[in-house]
Amino acid sequence: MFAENNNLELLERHFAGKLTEEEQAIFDKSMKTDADFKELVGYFEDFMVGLEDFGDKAVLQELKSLEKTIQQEEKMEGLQNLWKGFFDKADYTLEQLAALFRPVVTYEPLLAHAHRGNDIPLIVTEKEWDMAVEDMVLTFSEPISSDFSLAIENNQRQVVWTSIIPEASIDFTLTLQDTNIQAPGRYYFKLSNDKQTLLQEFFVHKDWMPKP
Amino acid sequence: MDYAIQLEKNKTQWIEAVKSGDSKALELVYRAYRKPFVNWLTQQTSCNQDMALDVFQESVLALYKNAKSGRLDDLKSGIKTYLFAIGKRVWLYRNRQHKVKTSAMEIEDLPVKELIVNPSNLDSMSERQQLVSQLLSKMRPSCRSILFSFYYENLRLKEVAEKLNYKSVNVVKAMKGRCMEALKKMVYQHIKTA
Repeated sequence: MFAENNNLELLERHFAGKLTEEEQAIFDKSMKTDADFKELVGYFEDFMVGLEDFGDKAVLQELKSLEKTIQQEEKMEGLQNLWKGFFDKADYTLEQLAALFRPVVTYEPLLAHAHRGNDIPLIVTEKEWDMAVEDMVLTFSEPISSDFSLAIENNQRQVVWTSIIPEASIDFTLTLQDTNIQAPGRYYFKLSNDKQTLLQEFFVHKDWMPKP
Repeated sequence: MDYAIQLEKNKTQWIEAVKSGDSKALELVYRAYRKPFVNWLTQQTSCNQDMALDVFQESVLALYKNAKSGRLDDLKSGIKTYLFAIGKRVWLYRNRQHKVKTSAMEIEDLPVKELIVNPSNLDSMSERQQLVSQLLSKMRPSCRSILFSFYYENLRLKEVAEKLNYKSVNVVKAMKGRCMEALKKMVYQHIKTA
């Protein structure tokens, strides 16, 4: 029994290396002559390892919960920044919105649904992405064989954001907060490897696009 | 608030806070180095964001355990440097079976002895040790808290009493004995019925 004869304190001090010479001698003797004590020592050793493992898992769990909290905080912060950037639909005139959503004429024939790169295994959907509504998820049919570059252009053909999708990725998620896009409109992403470039358009607040 | 500046300025206090079981200490280091660590690892290796966060969490745990055990008491470098050195080792340890480019990972290799980088290793645990870990989560919360604070956080009985609001050290001491006995009984019964 742990509670008997101060066994527990003795074991704790033994494992902390704090026994006096005299106590250590008694401990060693008990290990040789007292089977119950020896069994108790075995239990205690296993308890310490099991407790350490339990503790590690508890701390990791705490860190994972903290990570969730931080991600929620960042999302909220991102949304606040987003609204700061966008203000309100009422801040744009009809002409301004029309200009922001105007397509790049020279890009039209090159768009992904019409032209697919053989070396870029992107699963292209017919869907019209609206990043104000949902994150953009690029999915590949197989892990990509080299780093891909991803560039976002506005409809003035100005690069507003770039990134690298690392080799072996199978998908890539992009949120509006990540891109730092500050205005509604029509945008394009260019996905390139060293051989080919794939072009696709997407929108930010497509619901603000003036009807023709 | 710049957590990193605050942390490096008060390194010794942070280590003391870890030793006294202050859970805010863990949060502080996590918030201070999360972004720089993830950026560093994803830029220097083929690691993606999620994997980098896993490596970061494991590295923070290792840092915490090293601080708790007194290995950081004479720390000469900054906490950041130490944490990133752990991170490099955790990453290499995780990828030991793959060929990982390490030359690009520019981080000082610290001459730290007995650095814990992979605290838990289920493969090396005996069945009874794993059982103890599982059964602890099924114990009464009061028992769990006492055993966790005393044996894992290495708090003294007086500190455990203060942290868990017990009236006296003797109450905690008696409960600790009873909880260990209860755990032993649970393990014994589990093995017997298995």
